[in-house]
Amino acid sequence: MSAMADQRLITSEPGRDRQEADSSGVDITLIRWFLSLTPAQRLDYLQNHNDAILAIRARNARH
Amino acid sequence: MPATDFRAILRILSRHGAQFVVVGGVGAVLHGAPIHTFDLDIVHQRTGANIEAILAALRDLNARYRLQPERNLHPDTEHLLSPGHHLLITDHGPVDLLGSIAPGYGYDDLLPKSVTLSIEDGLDVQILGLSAIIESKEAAGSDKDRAVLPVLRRTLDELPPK
Repeated sequence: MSAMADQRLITSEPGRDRQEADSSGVDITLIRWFLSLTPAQRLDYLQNHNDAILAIRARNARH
Repeated sequence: MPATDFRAILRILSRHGAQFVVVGGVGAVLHGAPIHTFDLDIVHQRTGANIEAILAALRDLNARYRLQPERNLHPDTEHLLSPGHHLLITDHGPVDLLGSIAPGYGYDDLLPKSVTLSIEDGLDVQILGLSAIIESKEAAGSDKDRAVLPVLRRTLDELPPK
């Protein structure tokens, strides 16, 4: 990895990657990553995400 | 703790030979839109034979209406013949069974706008095309539907040309 890339990672600041979002604030890098998955993988990701959220909610409901 | 298992729901529907189109958030996710949703929305074919298949699947899923859960109400043939929306909870999570997503947008109208996606061996499902999902959310016009439109539109732009 180049020194410039290293520096970018170390000093990354909010909004630095704004060019990767369109005018609506949509993160195109996230879309492209999700498109790299198969439909089955996308479904499993959504399901795992739901399970994680529900587990966190249930855990905190007891407090 | 309740857990969602979209694959299990789709498997059970498929095993009973149910004819339906996946719409809404799960449909968009399957197309590659990185959005979040908690329920599976499907539009079912409203024929007598298919409704029997759907009902058999719903029995296996232990599906009951989410509204007034204390009454433990289950959908029947007459319910599913209507174009209305049936908001259900199952042992594998929430399912919205839609007779239509808008007037004139029932199963027969949506099927030509759908694609077949393979989820796993032996499980192919009809998914409403992403363009049509976008159109349906534009038509719905709710704040919730409008909120995801930028991501859906951008995802559509990113899809490879057919």
